Amino acid sequence: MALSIMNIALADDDADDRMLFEEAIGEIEIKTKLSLFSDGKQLMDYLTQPQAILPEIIFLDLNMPIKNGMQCLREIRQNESLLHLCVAIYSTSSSEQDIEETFVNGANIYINKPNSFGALKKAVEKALRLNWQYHTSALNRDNFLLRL
Amino acid sequence: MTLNIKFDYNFICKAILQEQLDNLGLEYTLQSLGEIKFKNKLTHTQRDQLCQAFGKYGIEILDNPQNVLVQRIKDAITELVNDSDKAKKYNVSTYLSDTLNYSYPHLSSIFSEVTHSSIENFIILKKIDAVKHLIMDKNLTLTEIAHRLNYSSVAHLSAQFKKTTGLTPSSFQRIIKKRKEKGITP
Amino acid sequence: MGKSSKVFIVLLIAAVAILMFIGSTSYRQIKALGESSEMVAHTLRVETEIHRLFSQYTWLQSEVYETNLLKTATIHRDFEAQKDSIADTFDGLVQLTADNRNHQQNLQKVRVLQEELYGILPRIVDTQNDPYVENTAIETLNTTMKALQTIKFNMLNEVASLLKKYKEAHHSNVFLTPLMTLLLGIFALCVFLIAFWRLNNERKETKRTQKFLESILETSKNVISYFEPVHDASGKIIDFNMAYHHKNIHDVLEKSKPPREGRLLSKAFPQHFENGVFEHFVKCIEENQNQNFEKQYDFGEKRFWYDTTTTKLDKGILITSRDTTSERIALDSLSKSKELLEKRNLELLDNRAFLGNILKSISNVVIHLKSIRNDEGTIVDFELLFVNDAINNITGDIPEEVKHQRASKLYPSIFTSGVFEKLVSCIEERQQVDYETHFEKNGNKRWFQATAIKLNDGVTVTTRDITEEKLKSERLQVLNDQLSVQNSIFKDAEGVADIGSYVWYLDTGDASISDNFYRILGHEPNSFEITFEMYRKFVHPDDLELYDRLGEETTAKGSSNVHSYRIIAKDGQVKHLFLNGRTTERMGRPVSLGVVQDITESVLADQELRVKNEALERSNAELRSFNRVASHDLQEPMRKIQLFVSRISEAEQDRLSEKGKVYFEKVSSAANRMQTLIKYLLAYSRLNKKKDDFSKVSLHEIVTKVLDDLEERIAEMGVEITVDKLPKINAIPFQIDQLLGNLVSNAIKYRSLTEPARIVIDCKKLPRNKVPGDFDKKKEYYYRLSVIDNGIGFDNAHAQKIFGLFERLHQRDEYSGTGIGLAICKKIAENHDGYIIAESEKGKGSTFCVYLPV
Repeated sequence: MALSIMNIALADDDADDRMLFEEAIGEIEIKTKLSLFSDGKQLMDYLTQPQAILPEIIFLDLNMPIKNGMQCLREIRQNESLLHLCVAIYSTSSSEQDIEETFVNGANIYINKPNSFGALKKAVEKALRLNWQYHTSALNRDNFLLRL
Repeated sequence: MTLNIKFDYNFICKAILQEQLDNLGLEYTLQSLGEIKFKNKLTHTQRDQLCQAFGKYGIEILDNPQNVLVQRIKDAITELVNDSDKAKKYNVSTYLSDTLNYSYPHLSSIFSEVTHSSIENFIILKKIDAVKHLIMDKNLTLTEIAHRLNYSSVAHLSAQFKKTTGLTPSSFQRIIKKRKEKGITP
Repeated sequence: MGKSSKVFIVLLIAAVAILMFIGSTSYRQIKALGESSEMVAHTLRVETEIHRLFSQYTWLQSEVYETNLLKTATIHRDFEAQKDSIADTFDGLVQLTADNRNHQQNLQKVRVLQEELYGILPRIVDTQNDPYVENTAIETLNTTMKALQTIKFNMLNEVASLLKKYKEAHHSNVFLTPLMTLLLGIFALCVFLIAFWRLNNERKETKRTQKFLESILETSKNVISYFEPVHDASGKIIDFNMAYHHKNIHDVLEKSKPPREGRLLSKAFPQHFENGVFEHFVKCIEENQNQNFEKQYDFGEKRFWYDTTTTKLDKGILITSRDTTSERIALDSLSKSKELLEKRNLELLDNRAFLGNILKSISNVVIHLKSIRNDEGTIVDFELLFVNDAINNITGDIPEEVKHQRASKLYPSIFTSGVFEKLVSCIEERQQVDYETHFEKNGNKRWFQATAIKLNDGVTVTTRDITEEKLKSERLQVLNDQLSVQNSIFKDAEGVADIGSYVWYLDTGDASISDNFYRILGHEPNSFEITFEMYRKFVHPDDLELYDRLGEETTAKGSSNVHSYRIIAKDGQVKHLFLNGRTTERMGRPVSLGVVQDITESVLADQELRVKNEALERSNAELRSFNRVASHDLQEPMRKIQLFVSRISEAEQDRLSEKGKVYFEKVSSAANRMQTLIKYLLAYSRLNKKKDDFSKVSLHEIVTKVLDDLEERIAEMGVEITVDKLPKINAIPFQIDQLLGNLVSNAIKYRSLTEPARIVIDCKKLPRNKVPGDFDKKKEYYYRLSVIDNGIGFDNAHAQKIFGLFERLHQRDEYSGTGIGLAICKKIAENHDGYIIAESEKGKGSTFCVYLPV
């Protein structure tokens, strides 16, 4: 039996990136249901709905208009009902300072937007699998940090 | 105010299982965490009740025998990783085949099929998780941790950590420390 | 009397001895008389016994003859009975003559003959029928009998001689004994007569002595008494009976009742039981020890002192008391005067010690000199009689050593310095002389103020060290000179530095300002009198408020926060003044002293600078926003180009021609390069330097991380890396990370193609002067962090050039690279106030050294 369906959310203002991400997810063996948001506000509005089906993993671009990724991350980590969610930062920035800051603020995964589609696929798959492991095996989620 | 706590998952799970099973008045023995043996066959209603009771705590009743086996493999690995004496004595494959009474290739293929990752990967993940725990909670040095978890060298441990998490142990430690200072818990 | 009594006693003893001798002699005479008569009686008895014995033998003989003749057989029984009788007589005789040897010897012979006789007798009786035997036996019997007869005569002779001797002795005794008794009686009578005469004399003598003694006692002032103890039942002395006391005691007790003899002590002198006198008496008796004590007694209103001696005499005690009252009084007054004397002595000693201490503790030298005069009476020298310890500090002399030495020897300089004349005049003219002198020792000149005062034929000189004062006044002179020079310099300096100074009396508002202050105001120096109010006219109207606040605050609190304001000078020029004042007191008046500086030029310069800074700030902000644009917006298109190219080449692989594939690859590589360039450029521009970023970092940890990051390439290329012990430094962690990362990855990239690659990372601490490079070396020590490789190296001529931005030494197709990496390294080194240099030779590896301050 394969993994059951995984709910995934992506917030990115760049339409091309959303498209490529969707394609990459589609090519991964894991069954997923992807929700796309074009900015942080949209994402947060969705997540804070009372009846929302919460995604198991949220991919967050840092550079977004209206509400950027860092703000979203902080809000998620301060929200009682959301703080258990796995947050993966999905950004162009490769600055060590940026990366550390997101981790300190509660990100679980940091993915540098890759230059090739293959790398993107790999990264996303690894993130999903690891998250799945953390979800299903007795691993300490407090210590879940992954940089790709 | 912040209060730091430490807990034992196994203990909590066991306590919850016992509490729920006792509530339903069933006669049982806990084989290991992933297995409950009942004296009498469960009726449909009892099964549903149990399903419901466990569901509240995110405990699932595994129907699929493969899932059951995978869970047992995971449990065995967890035990092996946590017990450094055992880990030194046994080779993983022999340990698993001995404890679970299946050939290692069989276990390996079932595990990959169900979890889409290899047993080896899972062991590494488990070990790195233990490393993280030792770094953060026990405040051990990498040398001590490497020794405890049967790594051939600190370099090996460091490399595996970096490969698995994308971070060096020291930056991991720094991040978690800063998180604690800020009071952020993901 | 003592001598005569001794003779008397000797005589008496001699008399007794003689009496005893005579008594014993007469006793012995009488006893000897008894004994001699006894001996006579004894001898007579012996004689009788001898006769009896021998008569019995003769009877035996006759009996035998008779038997033999009559031939009767009854002989035996009579014979035996006779034998027993003979034995008894014989034994009695032996006993009687035990004291006479001659008798004993004879008796022995008798015994032998008697046995012989007993042996013969029966034979005669039994052999009646044998006439031969009978004749021989009779013959033997006759011989024996004859022998016995001889012995009998011997013995009787002996007895007769003894008897004669005893009788003589008896006669002499009878005569001597009565004579001796008579002699004895006469002698005894003589002795008694002499004794009586002597005793009578003694008695008369005693009576005379007693009278003499009594007359002495009468005249003596001593009180003499004889007390007899009174015992209680247990034998303890409880009182004394005053057996005797001579009359003197009546004088003593004049007014109180005169005690009668025979009275009890407890009644007459009850006080003796309280003042311990009674105990002395008792002790004297019980221990038979003379007691001597002196006590005070109050009789009536008088107070007496008695020195008492008690002696045990017979059962009682003899008490002799001497009146010591007057002695006592004398003694008391003596001890009082002695005490007074001692007190005076102590005071005197105190005074002396006090004086000595003063002389010891004062730093002034005190010398007493005695004049030494020549024959004409002129003073030619002095002798040092006293000097205190203070001299030691000056001349090094020890007071004890220089005493009694000549001044000419000790201080010859006084004869040349005129001091000698001064001292002489002090003595001769009897007046105090003050003078100043100096003393030089080890090239150290010290000045003294001396005062000489005449004392006897000498002079006491007290000197005070005034060297310090002298030096101070000299220094003061020098300082004054310096001050006047400085003042004139200051005046010039004020002009040069555009500084003016002021003195402003806070109580009246009066002020005085320096020449240059006048010039700052555009006036000639001292061209007008200045006051606070007057000066206010120069203040720029816009700054009047400030100026007034300055005035108020300075007057009230002594200081003000206002330090600058503007003035308008005489020529209408606006000047910025900076002032710095401090409040103090001058001649009892509060005054503010201060300096004003014309800072117009620097204010104008500041304003210009501020404008420039603002411009810089703006351009920096623009740069930051450019960075953001570059980081995100410029990179994004490049990334997308790459992404889509990869997507196409993957998804459309089958539909692409080979050429198309190559082109796509080239697009991808170009885009990749572009992106790398942007990334590096961004990194370079981001290398800013903020204080907060600095922290203590372990170089070792950073190197470990760098090597971790590069692990794959290191393993792939088989590079051997040696890392030395590395210190902790104060640095920006990310930048050092980047610096080392760049250097190590360069070393890997430009590794040797012929030999296995080796990289050594080490670190050394060096002092500033060992650090090369032309940069501002602020710190004392620097760490030299080196990355040494054995790679392809480069021409050392390019050692500087390689750190330039976009500088490359290789073709792009040889080695990929942006030409930014080392520029980043250089900037990082500079950010840390450090320096980077490279050294290499083509083909022989290269060394990159980063100098970082410790």
